[in-house]
Amino acid sequence: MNIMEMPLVPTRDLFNSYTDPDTTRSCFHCGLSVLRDRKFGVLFDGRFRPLCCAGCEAVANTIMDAGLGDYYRERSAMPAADGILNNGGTSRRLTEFDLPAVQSNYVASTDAGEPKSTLFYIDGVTCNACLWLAESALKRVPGVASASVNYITHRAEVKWCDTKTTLAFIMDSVTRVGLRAMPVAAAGRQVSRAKERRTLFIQLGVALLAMMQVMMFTVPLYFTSADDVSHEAQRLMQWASLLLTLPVVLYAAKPFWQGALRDLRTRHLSMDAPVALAIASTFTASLWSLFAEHGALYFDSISMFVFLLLASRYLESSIHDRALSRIERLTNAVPAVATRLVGYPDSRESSDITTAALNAGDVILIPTGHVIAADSVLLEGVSEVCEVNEAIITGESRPVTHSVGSKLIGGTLNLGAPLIARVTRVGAMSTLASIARLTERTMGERPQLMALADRVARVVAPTLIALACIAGVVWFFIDSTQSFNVAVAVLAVTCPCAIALAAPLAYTSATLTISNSGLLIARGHVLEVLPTITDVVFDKTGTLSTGNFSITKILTADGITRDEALEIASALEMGAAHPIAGAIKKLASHNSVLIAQQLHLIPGDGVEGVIDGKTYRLGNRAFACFNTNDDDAFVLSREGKWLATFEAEDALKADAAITIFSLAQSGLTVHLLSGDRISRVKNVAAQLGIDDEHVSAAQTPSQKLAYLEQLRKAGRKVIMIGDGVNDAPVLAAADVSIAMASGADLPRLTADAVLLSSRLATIVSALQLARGTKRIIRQNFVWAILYNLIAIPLALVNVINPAWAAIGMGASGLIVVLNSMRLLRRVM
Amino acid sequence: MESLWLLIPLSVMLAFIIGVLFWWAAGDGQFDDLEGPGERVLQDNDGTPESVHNKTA
Repeated sequence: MNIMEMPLVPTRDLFNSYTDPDTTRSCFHCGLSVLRDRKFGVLFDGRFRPLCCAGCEAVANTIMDAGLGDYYRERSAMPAADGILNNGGTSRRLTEFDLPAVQSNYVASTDAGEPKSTLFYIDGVTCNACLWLAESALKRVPGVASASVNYITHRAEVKWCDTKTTLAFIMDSVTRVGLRAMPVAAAGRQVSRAKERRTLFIQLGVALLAMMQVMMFTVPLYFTSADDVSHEAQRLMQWASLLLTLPVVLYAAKPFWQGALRDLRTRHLSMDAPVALAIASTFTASLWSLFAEHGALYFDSISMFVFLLLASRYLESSIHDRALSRIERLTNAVPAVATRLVGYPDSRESSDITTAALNAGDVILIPTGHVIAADSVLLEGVSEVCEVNEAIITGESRPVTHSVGSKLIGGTLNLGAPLIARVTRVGAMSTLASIARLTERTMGERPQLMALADRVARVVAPTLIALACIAGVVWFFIDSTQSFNVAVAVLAVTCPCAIALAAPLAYTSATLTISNSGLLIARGHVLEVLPTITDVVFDKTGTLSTGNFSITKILTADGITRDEALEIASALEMGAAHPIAGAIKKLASHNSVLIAQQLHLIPGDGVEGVIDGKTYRLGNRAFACFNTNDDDAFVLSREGKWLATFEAEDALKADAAITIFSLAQSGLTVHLLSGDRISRVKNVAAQLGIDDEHVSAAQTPSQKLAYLEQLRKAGRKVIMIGDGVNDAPVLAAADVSIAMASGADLPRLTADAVLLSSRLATIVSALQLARGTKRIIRQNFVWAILYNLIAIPLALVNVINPAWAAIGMGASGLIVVLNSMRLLRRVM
Repeated sequence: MESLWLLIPLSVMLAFIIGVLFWWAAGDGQFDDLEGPGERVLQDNDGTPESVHNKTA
């Protein structure tokens, strides 16, 4: 592994690698271990509390000074460490948001003199106390009229006066307490979606209220004989039912009317058309019966029907919202401002321009540590090679080395020297936008079974209408007074409700539960295929390990001790921030006086430096010892002569062993494919109890692909777990692919699901839930079909009275809903 | 049974009043965040920003 390709920006994993298990002191703010010789701290409740670094100290002091110390009493989780570490980096760039052109994107238009309104997304939140902290910090900014944080969406709405404060200052106030506030573009989708959702919620509430009240009037009548309640009282209750059903039909059922109208216009029948027809016909029939004073009333059925359908819609829309807000965060990755070089290459005069105003062909300058504003081609780097952290796109946490002429992706971070690049794609054509678009598309995908259910319902609906008409005509000749009643009874009692809801609601509930547990499902077929899986393949050992390296073995040349080697290595790695450097520095004595000079970082190879007049190199063997014999080892050399070799090992995830055990327990074969060398892979497999015959080391991607094809040829159904980047083609070949994402979003393009949490056990529970989903859908279908098979003949022979029609239809739908809801309640 | 003549219209009226109240409350955003207010009651015991400034000053 080329250890020098590790990120220069500290990450949480790296931070953890500094922690020392021997130390009992943990940072009061972030919970990480405090190094013995560190003197950071803060006074809280009259006691000195140790802190791990200057970043935490600054944050803790800000919190205490603002009188927000309650945060430490109320919080139930430690803050995200990267929020603290990125502190300095973000505040520097915040002033961009004060440029009028940028600001206008984030400020809702208000009248002059009125406070401006901006929506922020609060990032880095780990528990409710964080949100309280953010809200209190925002409220304390002079010039902020009001701030309110939504605890569910993590959004803060801030009203502020532009004469007293600036957008950058407001954002900075949140940064200073260790969280991040990103303004959300004021215009566009999420506003109208929120409105849509609210309308749907009100419609749902109206339908529920009407349903309950109408049933109060109708249900008792089903259980009493006609003599118990006087005819007049019954009429009164019927009229009351009508009054209460009116808002349901006119307001709550609006989505179905609109859908049916759209169906008529596009001449493409969706579920809305039969639903609308059922509501319209039953309502008209009930109305007619009411005025004619005989026949069946279906007011309770109507409100229950509308309520049940709206409930499933509401559930579905909440999942879509969740996915959309992730897309929003992705598009927020692009900086608001870019530096354009107008006269390039003749002059280097630069001017700031909003990213939205960039055109293809513009030449932009990307300073060190800045995010690349748009997809572009590298024209010129100040140094020969440049380093870009493309983690947000590819999930690869190691920086990618680019040279002149190579493509840069908008939204990625320039870690190296300043770059000059020509913009190639902007706006909707950009990489980030297409990722967002694809994610949106996959949300619209439906599993095959669900599509089948839709088709069945579509066939069933017109069939029922035809059946009702035929029954009406036949009964006209038998008993003309019963003709309309029978027709309506057939329609009402057999509403395709249960069939239409059987699959979607179960999938929706299961998807929501699984997403909550940290596994984001990106493709529709995942839940459907998961129960049939026979083999689980872990691609890379990295999927099973934490990324926290520790030094396991040190080999030294004669005349140098282990500690000396560590001290030299530690001095050379002074400014480096990759995991192995962290592991070395952790082991090395903190009292070292060695100082390396003329440090040169050679990307991909290692670091060179001068200590006491001698040149040392630390890195891969080829680089350190001028040796062509390259291997994984991390080597220290003096004047080209070997001094020491460090062997580092990645710790396995805490739940890796139990996950593999439970997978095997549930009858699945676990495989491990890895590109790492055999000894390491064997070691990992042994620790986790994976059979040797299912372990392959030193595999190239094409070998992995062949392995997978072979499995599939043998009729196995394979789930592949990888990082979603280098193994994209291998992942694509599996029946279901799961990518382990750490803030990356491209995996969603190639993988069927993305594991957002670091808990491997989530996969096991998702498998179990998928099996449960399949079972529940089968139950739903069996019930819905059975019910209809019994109810339709009964309605046809006119033995179903309004009571049974209403109870039967309602119950068949309700049973399906409640049965599906069981998937929601299951605790994972 | 006479009481029905009063009670049923009353219940319908009540249902409509509840419906309108719900419509207003939901439109006002009172159901958008069901967790926040509860948390705020528990956490926000420090009064106005001014009093805090005085406390820490």
